[in-house]
Amino acid sequence: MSSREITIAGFLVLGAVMVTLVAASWTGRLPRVGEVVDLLGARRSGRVLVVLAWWWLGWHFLVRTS
Amino acid sequence: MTADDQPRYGTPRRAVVLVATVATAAYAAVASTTGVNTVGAAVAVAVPGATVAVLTLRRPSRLVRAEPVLRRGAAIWVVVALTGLLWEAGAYLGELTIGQYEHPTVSVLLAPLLHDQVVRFAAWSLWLYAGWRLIRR
Repeated sequence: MSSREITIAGFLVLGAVMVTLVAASWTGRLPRVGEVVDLLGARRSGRVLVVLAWWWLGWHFLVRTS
Repeated sequence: MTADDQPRYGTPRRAVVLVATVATAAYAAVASTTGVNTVGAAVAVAVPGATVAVLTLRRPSRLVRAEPVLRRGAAIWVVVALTGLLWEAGAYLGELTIGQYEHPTVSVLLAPLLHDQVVRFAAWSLWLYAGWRLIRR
């Protein structure tokens, strides 16, 4: 496998894991994303990280996409 | 509160949600016309970013019952998020040192999609909705 294929495969695996986690939350086997965000955001420090992560996603995909 | 009071009590809440939905869609429609790597796009991300940060961070801390299932779920999500972050950082370093073709970041892979106007509008809407949910939680 080339470096490019390995890199892309890694992203595909991560994407598949995220879809599986969301699906598992729908069936009740795992908490929902919102509940996890609530837990992480219970403290101010956790909320800072959650907001930073959200902001970074916006910056990365909507402003700087290459 | 009587049953008669409920519709009047619920109306402002629905009105807020409706106004927020329309405002979000309008903002996403305007923001999605900004080009990538432009000042306009940076400002369009900075304004809601600052708003959400101020409104979310000034909220007092609250108690959340951390049951074992919730703790386990949170730990799994944190591990997945950190792995994704490290994989993206590794691809970025590879992009800088070896080349973008051999080590594309996820943003490079999604760039052709995100140049499409409809996809860009959807991405903006999704991002703004997530910010709205952060404020509301």
